Amino acid sequence: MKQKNYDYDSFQLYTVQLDKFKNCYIEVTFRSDVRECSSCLRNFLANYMTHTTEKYKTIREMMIAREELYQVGIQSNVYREGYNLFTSFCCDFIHPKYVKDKNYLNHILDFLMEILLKPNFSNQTASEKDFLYLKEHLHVQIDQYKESPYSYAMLEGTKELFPNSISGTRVLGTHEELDSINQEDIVKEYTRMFENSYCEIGIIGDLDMDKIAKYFKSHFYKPSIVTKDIPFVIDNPLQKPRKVEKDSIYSQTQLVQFYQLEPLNYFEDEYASIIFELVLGNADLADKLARYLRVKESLCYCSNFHIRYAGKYAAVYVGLNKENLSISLQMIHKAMKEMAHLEKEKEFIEAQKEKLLANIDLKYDSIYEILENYYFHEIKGSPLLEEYKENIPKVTYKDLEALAHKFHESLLYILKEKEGESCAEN
Amino acid sequence: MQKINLQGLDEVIYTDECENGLKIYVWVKPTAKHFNGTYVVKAGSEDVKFTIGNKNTEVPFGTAHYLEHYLCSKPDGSPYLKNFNDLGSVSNAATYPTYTIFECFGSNHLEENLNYLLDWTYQKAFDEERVEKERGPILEEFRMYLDQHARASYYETQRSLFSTYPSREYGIGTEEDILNISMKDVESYYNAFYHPKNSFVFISGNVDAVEVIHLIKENQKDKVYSKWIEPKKAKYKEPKKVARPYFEKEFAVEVPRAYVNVKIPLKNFSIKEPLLLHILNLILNVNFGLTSLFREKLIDSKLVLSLGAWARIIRDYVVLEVSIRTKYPEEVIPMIQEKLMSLEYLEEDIKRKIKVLISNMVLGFEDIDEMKDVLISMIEHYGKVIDHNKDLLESISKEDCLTVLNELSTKEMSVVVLKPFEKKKDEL
Repeated sequence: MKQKNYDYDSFQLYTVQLDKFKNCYIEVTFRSDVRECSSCLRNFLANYMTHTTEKYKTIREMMIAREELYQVGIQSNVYREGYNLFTSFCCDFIHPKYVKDKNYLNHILDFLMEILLKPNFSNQTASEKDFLYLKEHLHVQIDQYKESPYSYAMLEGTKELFPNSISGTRVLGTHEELDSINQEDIVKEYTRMFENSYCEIGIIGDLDMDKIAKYFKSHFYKPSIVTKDIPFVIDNPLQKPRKVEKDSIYSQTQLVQFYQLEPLNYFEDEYASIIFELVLGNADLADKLARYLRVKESLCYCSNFHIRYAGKYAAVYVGLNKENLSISLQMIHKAMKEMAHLEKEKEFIEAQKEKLLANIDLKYDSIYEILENYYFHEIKGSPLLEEYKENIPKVTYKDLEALAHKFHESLLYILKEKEGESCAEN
Repeated sequence: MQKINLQGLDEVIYTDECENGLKIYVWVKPTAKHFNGTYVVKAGSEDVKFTIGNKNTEVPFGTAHYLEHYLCSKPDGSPYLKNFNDLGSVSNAATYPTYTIFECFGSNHLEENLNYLLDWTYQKAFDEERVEKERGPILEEFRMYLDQHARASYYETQRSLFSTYPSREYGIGTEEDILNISMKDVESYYNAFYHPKNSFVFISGNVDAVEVIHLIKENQKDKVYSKWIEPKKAKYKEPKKVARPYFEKEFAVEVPRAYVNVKIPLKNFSIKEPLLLHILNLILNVNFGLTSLFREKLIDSKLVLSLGAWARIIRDYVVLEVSIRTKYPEEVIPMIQEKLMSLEYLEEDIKRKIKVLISNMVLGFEDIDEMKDVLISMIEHYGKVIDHNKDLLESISKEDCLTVLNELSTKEMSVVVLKPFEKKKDEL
């Protein structure tokens, strides 16, 4: 595995050359400050760019072109970490050696350039037909989370927890935001994205990276250099514990206990917190939450725990019968309290460290994970996979105990099942 | 040990058999950093009626799944999965309609992982207290599924298509089934199906096939099993007619979802599986996929938000399914039905899509975990590894497609619609 970067001032190439996979992958990312743009509008633009271009006006034409390139995978993703808004255009294709067409790689790169540099705009406006089609789609997408009780509870709970913070909003935006966007806004956002964003291009596969870098240098264009520092953590202030209960249309009660976090140091954020997650609520049926909630008390099928340090919060989730709310809550508090006293769990913690190391090995089997790891290492300073392997064994039970003191109980969000759905108490 | 070369794909699977009848498959992937082990028992949620010798047994729906849960706990009540967790590995179990799997993933301690995997289901004692302990989590799992539209559409579609098949019933059982499943049910199911002659083990990853096969045989050699009497699973005489042509229900969806299905006797087709399925899926893709003019027309006229189509084989029938998300099901469903009655053969599109399928097949082997699921399902269904799938795709001719189209009868159709709750509908 050989990494090499190319700095072209207004954009950077991060490349990983390796001969392990039968496919290759390119991800072009525009990274902006979410406080200076609308993620809803940006998401609209990203969808528009992968939906229609100057040459391929309809989805059908776009799909035929993709199939002719052996089903090159093209998709856009808009996501957020802290104040960073990432807009990425991903291009996944079979290695040219499996294809008879000798110019296959150039055709792939040309196709990617068509998407990035030749959007379907005329007279400073987006095509009406595609604009309206996507708008309707995005309206539906905004509501899609309501089809999953888990997503609904997590999203509505986060909104309730952070009513005045970006952490409480969604990248997709709201129906009102979407309705306020017009065809001209799409064109303006395209210009703004190219002018006000970092542009970072990740490339991975068994490819001649110098040759690809040369291609990008001569074919890709980005006008301005961005140097602004954009924080990866949103400093949400601590709040007092409170409880919010809502009715729902779902068959099962959803419980989300939020915690807020004090600032973590690099070691805690990158290494200790992952082990903390596993020990408390992410280790199959062996973690503390599962031990109490499912194995001991038979209260639930599914529980989990996740830390979202970008918003300085964490959440325990349980799907359960409403009759069992109070005992479940006692068990959650008991499990969390025990995280500050872990000496007896030393053996279990060692097993979780080993498990995490095995998970890191799993990442080496994914072309996407390898590139993502290298990309975040370069832009944010996250550890490389090798660094994880080196430092995970250094996490001690005392590190986890210290971490436990940085968690503060916050909102308890309960989404009650619809009336008449309750099973007998277990 | 036999070697199976997957033709044109640069992939090799080794196979062998233990003395007790347990079949072994090892897919060696030298570039992988991790390994997976899956123990497959060829009995699943649909196997509720069976005969051993002269004795007929019927267990409630959900028994196979209940047993899977039970087997995930140790005699002291602690989870069996913890054994793998302590090795730094991940493990899981799942019940499918016709088989049940127990699996682990790891990158170290291959031998220990394999032994835990192979001992997982061996010689289990049953006790009432542990059976009872699983009831609560299973009831919650059942309730979790109640709001999943994918499950609702699957079961309602099965109920619309078939009058007799057990695929009509929830694999996990109903709430009543779960409350009624007894230790005797669970135990009799275990005794009937959990035998090496009714199982196989599939190992994939960067492993040495000779070593793995040796370890498995070593593990199995001292295991004692009763004589295998193959249970006769119930057979169903399914009428040609669909059980209910139209069905709708309110559900937790934001936009209506509709499923148009065609039921065709498998024996109608002169081309057999798996080629038949490849051809049917190609035809559906050409007619309903992203490059079809029909789909473009529906999208342009804002009638549908999404559209998908595929073919599958369920026991003695081929089922073609077109699923749509639309605000106007009443308008769109007849259009879909009409299109299904006039499926076209478009040579240029078919050729292009064969090229795509081959590319997908080659790349599919890069995703080890997904591909092992495909291979396991293939072994379970066909009883062997199909080693010439790529050749089959490349061999598809115009004549094959036209033959399938000629034999395809669309007389029996069913429609299932999931609609938002009344309150939601007003907001659309």
